[in-house]
Amino acid sequence: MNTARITLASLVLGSIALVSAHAAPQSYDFKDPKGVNNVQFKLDAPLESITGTATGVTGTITFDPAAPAATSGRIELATKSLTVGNPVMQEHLHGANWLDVGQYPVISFEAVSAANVRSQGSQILADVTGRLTVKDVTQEVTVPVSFTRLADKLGARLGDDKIKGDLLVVRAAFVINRGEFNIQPGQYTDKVAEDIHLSLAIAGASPRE
Amino acid sequence: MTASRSSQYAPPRPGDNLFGMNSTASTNNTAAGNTARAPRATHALRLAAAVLFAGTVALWAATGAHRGWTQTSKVVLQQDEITGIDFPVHQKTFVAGVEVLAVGVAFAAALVTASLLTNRRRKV
Repeated sequence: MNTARITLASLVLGSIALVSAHAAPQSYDFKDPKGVNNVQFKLDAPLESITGTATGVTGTITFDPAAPAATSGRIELATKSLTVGNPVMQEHLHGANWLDVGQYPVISFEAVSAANVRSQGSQILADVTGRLTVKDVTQEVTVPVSFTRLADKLGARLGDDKIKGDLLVVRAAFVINRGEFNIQPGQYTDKVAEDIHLSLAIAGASPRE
Repeated sequence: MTASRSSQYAPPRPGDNLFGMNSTASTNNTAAGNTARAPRATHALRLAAAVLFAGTVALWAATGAHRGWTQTSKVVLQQDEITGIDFPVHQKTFVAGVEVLAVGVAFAAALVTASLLTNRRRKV
């Protein structure tokens, strides 16, 4: 009888510990050795449509699937990694008149709070409010974000089953106005749209010992 | 004056090529030789203009009729198996932009203009 009680107690405690371990906030590192993490941008002006990508993503996010509203973290994008199909256009994009990558090497987003949290299948959706900084201009923006936690997939992603850990896939699509970030406000609007459509898809890793 | 001008004028004979394409006539008369070379140049310029115009438009259309600037690389999206993330892979390519179209059409127009000038010089 005593043995049965001890076994039951052990199982209950073990389950609680397991749930706690999974429910605990995990820190995910978004530095991506595979170069998959990316941001796509599109500017659709009356005379010209500009599309490009950027892959220089780094940062960490602390995410708890049991409390997604408590999500926090900071994602950075190296401005030098912004790429467009035309080399001359890319030179202009990186130049002092536009992004000035020499003086402003990083675009950052710092998550402050999450609201309207809901589940959709395996995804957790939330409206994340944070501080977006471009060219040293910081604006508060609210971004619809989806989080997908892939438990025990880190080893598979890195091609080494001995590596244990989880992945967190973060997706977001939103629009910012370049004028609000001091990127040639009100200038060349016929060729360079003021609205920049951003689409972000990044995966972070949380290794376990 | 009228008499002098009319004395220089030799009316065409039956069988003469009025456009100066007759090689026999051109070798016998210096003025006729000039008129023979001029239409050849005119035709060559117009042919070159037509080929250039058609070639430029065909190149622009064949590479996607892109209304922006010329692209020397394009992005192909691939999907990461584990995360399902679509990520960009850059591939070298050539997509003719509007500036290629504009330069080609401008050169074609310049050739047509040159052919018109050549033609006018021949008439003078």
